[in-house]
Amino acid sequence: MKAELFGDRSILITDVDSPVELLDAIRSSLPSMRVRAGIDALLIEGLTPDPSLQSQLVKVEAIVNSAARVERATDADETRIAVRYDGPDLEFAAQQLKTTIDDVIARHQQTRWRVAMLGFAPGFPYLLPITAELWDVERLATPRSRVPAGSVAIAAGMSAIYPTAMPGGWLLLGTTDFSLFDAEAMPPATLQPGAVVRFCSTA
Amino acid sequence: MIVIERADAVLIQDRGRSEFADQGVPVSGAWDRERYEHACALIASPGAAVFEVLAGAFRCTAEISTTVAVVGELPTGAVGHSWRLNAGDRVEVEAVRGPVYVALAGLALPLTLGSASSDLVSELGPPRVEVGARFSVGEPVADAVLKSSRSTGAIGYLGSAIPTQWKVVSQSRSGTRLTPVDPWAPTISRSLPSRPMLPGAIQIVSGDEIIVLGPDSGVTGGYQVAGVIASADLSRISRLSEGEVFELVQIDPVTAGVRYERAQRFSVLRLAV
Repeated sequence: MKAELFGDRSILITDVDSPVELLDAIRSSLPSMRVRAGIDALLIEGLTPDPSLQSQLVKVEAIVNSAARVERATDADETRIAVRYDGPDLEFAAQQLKTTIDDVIARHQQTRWRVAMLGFAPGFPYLLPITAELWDVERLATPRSRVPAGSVAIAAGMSAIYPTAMPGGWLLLGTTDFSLFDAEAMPPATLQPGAVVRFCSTA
Repeated sequence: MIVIERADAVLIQDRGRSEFADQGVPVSGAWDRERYEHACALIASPGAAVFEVLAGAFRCTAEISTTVAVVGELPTGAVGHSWRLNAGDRVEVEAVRGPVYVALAGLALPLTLGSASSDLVSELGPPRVEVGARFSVGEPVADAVLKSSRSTGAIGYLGSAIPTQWKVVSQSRSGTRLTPVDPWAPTISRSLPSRPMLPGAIQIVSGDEIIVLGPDSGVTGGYQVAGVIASADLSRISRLSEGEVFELVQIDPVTAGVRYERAQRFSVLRLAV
């Protein structure tokens, strides 16, 4: 792990294994700060931008280094998401993975996924495979200007679901009616960082 | 109530939704935090919802007595004071060089995720302010004048070395796109995992373009990051105009801290009740 100042109000910690597992321990040790997990990183916001920044960094770094790992969700808490595999990029994904469309769908469903972080848009989950599956597909050379809401996609070793219509370059495998974000709910994102996800076909 | 009579590019903003970044929700909130906080201080309501006039003109008429504060740069120069409005009084401003904040005492608005901020990208909070809209306002407070020293010169950032001179390509609440004045060939690592981001982060897109993230930017990003704008100077990013050339300079954490403490020094002189 490597900790450095990220501006004068936050600390970016990189080269972190499963950062979501450190969230709970760091949050309870640093209740006045905001902690976010990335795929390989943690961002801790809420430093006071005064001349003591370096000593604040040292203090936070010590807390992160001694933080206990907590698994936030197990297989028992798995969320099942039903997908209509009717996406326009199934064939392109199959080509890139040198397999058939049916196999792409089967592997997408066999893989257990974990929410590594939320970002890009409210409630947008970045899903990392828990089981060691190779999902190394390239993004589209030219991103689409509008990806429909509910699109289930893969790219760069991950899967994701688009909560609302927006531009995007991931390969679209299908669509789901699963609701990802509700501004009236607390917490507003349906899938929280650390959640375990499994895809299945709509009946 | 107040009635909106003209609103070319006007949003409602407050301190935003920074508590929900881990839910994928942009921070949003006032783009020029310095002017915004000054406007709130003038009506003695820290964290209040205010009108953010991004460009063009804004005009409204009061139907009851209240107090208005205006902070920003008008065609006639910089302003920062508040005054009493009586029923029938009109407020008219035009924004040049960055957002102008129009704060009205007791402006009441519903909250989404703890904030009244308009985030048009994520479709959270109220829509753009429209002509004919009416807003509930409150009782007058004492008139006041703002005294603050404004920072000038190069904008500071913390991070790794990048060129100094930049030209503004485009400007929006999602991000400010800049191109280097002199040719630049940065080493760009292509295979970066998406990471948590925040407003002020400087993303290197190519040797021709960097983006300084704004309040409505996504909370994650996959581009290489050169650094982050110093808190004391972040508001000045919102005041840049397209085509303008300015300087970015690398500063160390101690200098950033000193600048921030200096930027916090301002006073509001109350005039009358």
